[in-house]
Amino acid sequence: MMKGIVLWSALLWSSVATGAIDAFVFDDPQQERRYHALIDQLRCVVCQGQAISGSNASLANDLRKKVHDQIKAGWSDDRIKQYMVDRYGDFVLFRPPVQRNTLALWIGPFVFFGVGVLIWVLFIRRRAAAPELSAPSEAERVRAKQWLEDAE
Amino acid sequence: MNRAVDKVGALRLSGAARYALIPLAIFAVLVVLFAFSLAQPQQDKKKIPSPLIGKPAPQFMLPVLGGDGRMGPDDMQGQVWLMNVWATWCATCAIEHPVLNRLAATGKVALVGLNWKDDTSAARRWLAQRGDPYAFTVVDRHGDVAIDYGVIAAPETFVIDRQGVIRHKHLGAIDARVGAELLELVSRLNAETEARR
Repeated sequence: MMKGIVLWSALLWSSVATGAIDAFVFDDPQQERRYHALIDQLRCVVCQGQAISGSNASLANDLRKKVHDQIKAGWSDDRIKQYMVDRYGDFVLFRPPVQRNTLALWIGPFVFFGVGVLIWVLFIRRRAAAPELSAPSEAERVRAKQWLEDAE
Repeated sequence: MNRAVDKVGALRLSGAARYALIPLAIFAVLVVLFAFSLAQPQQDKKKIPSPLIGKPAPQFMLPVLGGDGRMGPDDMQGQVWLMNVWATWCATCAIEHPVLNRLAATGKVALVGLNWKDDTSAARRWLAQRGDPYAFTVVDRHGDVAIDYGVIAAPETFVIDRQGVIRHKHLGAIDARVGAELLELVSRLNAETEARR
């Protein structure tokens, strides 16, 4: 009976504990904040769509431990990120650095937006330039009437 | 005389049709892009260029599987060699293993195994059962060396030249075709270093 209760509560608890939880100990809360910020910015290279913070892949576990050890060893955020980039490439960062090969990635959206605005402006101007339909003159009325009669 | 009216109507329509063509053109471009991306083999999409190509192979000194002492890249210096990352928990490794055996049997290239986060006795059984293509296998118990090599998933194979520089990395299983390509690359690297002498 007791065993059953323990089992059930364990099952219920497990549904609450989503994502990966590690029992890492830090020297101060600031280190822990940096740790959580960093593991959110590093991509799990095995699962690709996830950060290592939300992955239980074995490699993500190893990398979280690595980040933890490095923070404890007094490494700066930049040094830790560089360590990861040196091994896994820029891809490991969810926010790629601005450099020559990522330029299209960074300015692309603005270029597309600019093209969109340009098309919109041209469209508006052309519509404004188009002559508005005015009421037909007496001569046009007569001509139209003539055509209609001819057609009959 | 209906024609005049028709003509005016047709002219207006062509103006509107031109704008209607813009979304259609964008749609067509997207269809082509998606078709290309779909036609690409799944494996290519997963390919992430390794920043380690062209860099010296990271140093390590790890215990030798089934032996005593430690070995590392320095022990392979002066020859072109393959470092194959494998584990008994890796199903794809079992698929490529016969190809590795055949590669080793050609005698044209030396293979070194990096046994990644594995059970050591299971790893020894694996080699006893399937054959051992490796000059030696080192044990990366906690995966630290694998991180230094930017290993994403086993199996992975690095081609390292005589100067100890990583020249190529293959992600995933080595099939017969990839095996032949690797041998070709090895002989090219051998020729390259001979020419330099």
